Amino acid sequence: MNQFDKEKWVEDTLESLSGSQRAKVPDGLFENAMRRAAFGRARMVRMPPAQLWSVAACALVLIVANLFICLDFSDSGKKASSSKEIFAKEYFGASDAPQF
Amino acid sequence: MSEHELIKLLRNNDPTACKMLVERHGDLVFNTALGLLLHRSDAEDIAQEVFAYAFQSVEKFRGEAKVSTWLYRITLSKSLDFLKAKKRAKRFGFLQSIYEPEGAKLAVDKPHFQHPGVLMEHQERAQILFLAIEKLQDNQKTAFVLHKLEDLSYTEIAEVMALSLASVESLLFRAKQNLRQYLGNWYEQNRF
Repeated sequence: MNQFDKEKWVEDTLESLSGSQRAKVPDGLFENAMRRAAFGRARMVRMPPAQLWSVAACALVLIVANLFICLDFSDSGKKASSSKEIFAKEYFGASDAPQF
Repeated sequence: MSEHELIKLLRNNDPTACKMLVERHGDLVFNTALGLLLHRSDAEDIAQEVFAYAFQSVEKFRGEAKVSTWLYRITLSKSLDFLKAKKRAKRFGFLQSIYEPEGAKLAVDKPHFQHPGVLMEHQERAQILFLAIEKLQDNQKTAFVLHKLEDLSYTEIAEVMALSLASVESLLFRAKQNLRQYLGNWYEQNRF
């Protein structure tokens, strides 16, 4: 293989884009771009700030209510087990009372 | 109509101004996308995407750069994002090909893209060059395409890519070095 041929081929290939022209713009580019832009605008529906705040407030109320319910539920579980212990102590006596 | 007036009308969603923007800069956007993506229908898709984005986000254009520079930047960003997504899909295709040898087949390394603007006598070599361009890193590819296909000067490339002149020179030097290496290997494997 001739090194000179190779280098010449590489350089010629590197220069193969010289003198090239721009490709023709596809038909309907403007119409399609406008259609896309209109679709994009339709998709970007902005929520008014008042509505956004009311949604945030509702979400906060829901979260707080759920937290209260969870806390109340765990407390009532403790209360239920302690009332069972009191009942068992009264019924069986302090020494024979079963452990819960 | 001056660029300033055009932008003013675009901000008012004037369809005539939108049409004028496409008529003035359509070839710039389409050809840059074509040079980077090396696929006609992908380039058409990106060109539509670029103009749709330009119409929607014209308020963000501060008028410090030329409209053409702004459109070049959007085209580069959209085209490179598209290429990244395509690479991800290709990686997934590779995984698929491991499990399904009969199914997804990997792309073979052979010339496939014919640029419609390249001179007829250079078409064969240009196809091989495009194959090599495809292998370049994104920033090298961008600089090379802007220089060779869009005929931009180093200063213009620096402005579009938001780089220093020295960085552009270095990018183009490395791009040419890598292309020479790839083409040399291709010559050895395919010619003799």
